[in-house]
Amino acid sequence: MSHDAAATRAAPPPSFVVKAALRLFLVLGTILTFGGMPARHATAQYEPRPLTPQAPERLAGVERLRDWLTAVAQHEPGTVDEPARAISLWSRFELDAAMADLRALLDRASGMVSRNQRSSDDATTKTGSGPLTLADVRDLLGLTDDEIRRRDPTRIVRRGAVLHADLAVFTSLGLLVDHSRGNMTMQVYDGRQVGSETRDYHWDFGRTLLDAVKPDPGRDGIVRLWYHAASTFMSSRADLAALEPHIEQARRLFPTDATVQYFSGVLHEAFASPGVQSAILGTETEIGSAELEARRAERFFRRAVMLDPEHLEACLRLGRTLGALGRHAEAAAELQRVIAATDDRLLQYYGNLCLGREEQALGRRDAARAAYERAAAHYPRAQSPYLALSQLARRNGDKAGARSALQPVLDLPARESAREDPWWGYYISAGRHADVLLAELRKPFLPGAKQ
Amino acid sequence: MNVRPQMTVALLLWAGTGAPPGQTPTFSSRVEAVRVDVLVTQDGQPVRGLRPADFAIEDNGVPQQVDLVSSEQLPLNVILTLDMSSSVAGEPLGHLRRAGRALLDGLRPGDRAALITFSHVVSMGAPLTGDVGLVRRALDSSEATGNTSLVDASYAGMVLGESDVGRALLLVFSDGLDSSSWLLSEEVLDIARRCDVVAYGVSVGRSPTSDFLRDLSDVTGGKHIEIQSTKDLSATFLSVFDEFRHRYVVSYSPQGVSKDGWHQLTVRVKGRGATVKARSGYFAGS
Repeated sequence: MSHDAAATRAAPPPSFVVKAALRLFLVLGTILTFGGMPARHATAQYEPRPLTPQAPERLAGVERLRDWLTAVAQHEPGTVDEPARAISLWSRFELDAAMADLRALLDRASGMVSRNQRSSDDATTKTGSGPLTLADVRDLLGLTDDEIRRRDPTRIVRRGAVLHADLAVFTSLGLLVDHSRGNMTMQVYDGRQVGSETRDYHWDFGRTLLDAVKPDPGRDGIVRLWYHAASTFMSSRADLAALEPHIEQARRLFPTDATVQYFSGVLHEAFASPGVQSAILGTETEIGSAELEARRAERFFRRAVMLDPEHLEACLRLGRTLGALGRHAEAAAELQRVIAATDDRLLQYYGNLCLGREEQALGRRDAARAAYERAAAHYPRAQSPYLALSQLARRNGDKAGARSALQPVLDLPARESAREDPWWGYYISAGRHADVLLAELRKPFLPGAKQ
Repeated sequence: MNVRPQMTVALLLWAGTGAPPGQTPTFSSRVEAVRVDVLVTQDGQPVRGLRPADFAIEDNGVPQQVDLVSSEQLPLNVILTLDMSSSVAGEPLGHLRRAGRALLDGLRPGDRAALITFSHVVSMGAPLTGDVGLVRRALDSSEATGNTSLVDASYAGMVLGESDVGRALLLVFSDGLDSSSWLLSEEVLDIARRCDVVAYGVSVGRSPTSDFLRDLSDVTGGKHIEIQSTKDLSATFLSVFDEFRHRYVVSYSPQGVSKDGWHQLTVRVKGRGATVKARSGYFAGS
């Protein structure tokens, strides 16, 4: 699903219908910004591997595919190296053509293996190259005859998806300039549209690659990890435009995966946020009202918790969403469950802060105050719990108490570096483990690793 | 007489010796007085020289005897609550600083000012003080960056404003959309109905920010001003200040009404085609 939006007016090529999605930079938290993804700049010189030096002229028509395969093979995951730089210069059309060439070549070669015959006919016609032998294809793809016969590019596309995940990450972090030119996206900052841009195509292309995993990408552990890592990274960047199509495809592949359901909820919870709701005013978008999006989020969070009762972050967000929908008793029960089950400082903070609001809504002032105080104890330099305590006192008619509870906020230094309120990073906090998951994804593809 | 249908009523309850400085209480120390901050205009201009007998106040429909009317002689507490998020960076920040300085220059001896700035961070640039230089320096050193916690900051400004005696003007400026407040706008508006601060909201352009500031101004008996550019912000701030200075503080000792709950107030000026703007009511005991 993508969104028509005002950003479509930002001069797309006249012969294309460009659907603008939303890329939303919602919050810039002090502690929850994730600028430090493990990416290294390679110093080694990139030297394309000569695949069939004895007959290069016969491969002239598949140069593009060969270059892509070479880059995939030589890229060191997590490194801004020359193979990554080389492929970052490709357009989406070149990438799609390379994938089409791969499929076509496998189709033809599969028949060749089955017949165990040399090919001197139009085996590579569709890719525009000259005739290829089966040996050429073996060399080019690096696949076994059995893999070729089964048209199984799994080893290639898994590795390719890691390269393109890296390219998406590097582009997002500003380490590479994008040339792939994906969909138009709207950029939002501080609750308002600040511009539009064409986003990179690498996440989309990675999904296309992984669709080719045999026998079933929905039962492949690497594919699952790729989707988890990508969802987490997109959340860490508040890149909802990337997350939306990504998580839809993830649900098709992994319909009973709690993490996928969780990130689906994260997406719709962010759509329900004031920053997004403000930004989409007056635009054509498929994003619903805050209430509608909260109900969608609730459905996904509830399913995530049902699939994995130990998924405390889903439980936390379910509680908060229920509260936003006015179901305070249910919300409080979910939040209390989180608080009782974890000693994670961040989850304790969010859980208690949200619980305080629900207790207050239920008229249990003492419990609300206790919850806010626990939140403040976890992050003494956070302003939100003190504001909450102050308004709790003031609504109870206690002016002096309100002033006193507010004082810690007024006493804190003005500079952001001296503050630490995780509430500011709530919407990106679902992505705080992105670096860990990306490292896990890259690990089997690092030099010397066993796949 | 033209009483705005959405007029709201400001209140200050004080007992006995809690009268504002510069004013002699005229009521028994055992009786709580209700103080209502009232703007009276005619043809857009403040009406001056009104006396207690010119006002008619009904508390929950019961006519009340106005005891005291005072105006310009009361010292002011001005709480500047200014948006310093990234959307203000550049030229608007210069306009904002200039406007703040212009307002501070208009303070009189006895008046006090405070500065609260906000992005997603709510911070007190200067506490409520008679040292205008301190506030000015804080204003000049503020930088524009980050998201917007308008609702949180407005609440902080309100609490700061009602923490002291005197007439409190909460002047809130924002050109952004609230994207990071913890407090909910409805929570803060509910509290605004209970406190004695008069809020004037200045917003740039039409946005949900305008809605919140309009509601905040309405429930406190203030005014919301929507501007298209910050270019003339100094003039806007000065007009707010001048208008606030010329408001009346009308007080009475409630008779024949309950001591609890919400009290609906109606304030009129007798025999004139004047427009009256004040709070619509108050919570007794809040």
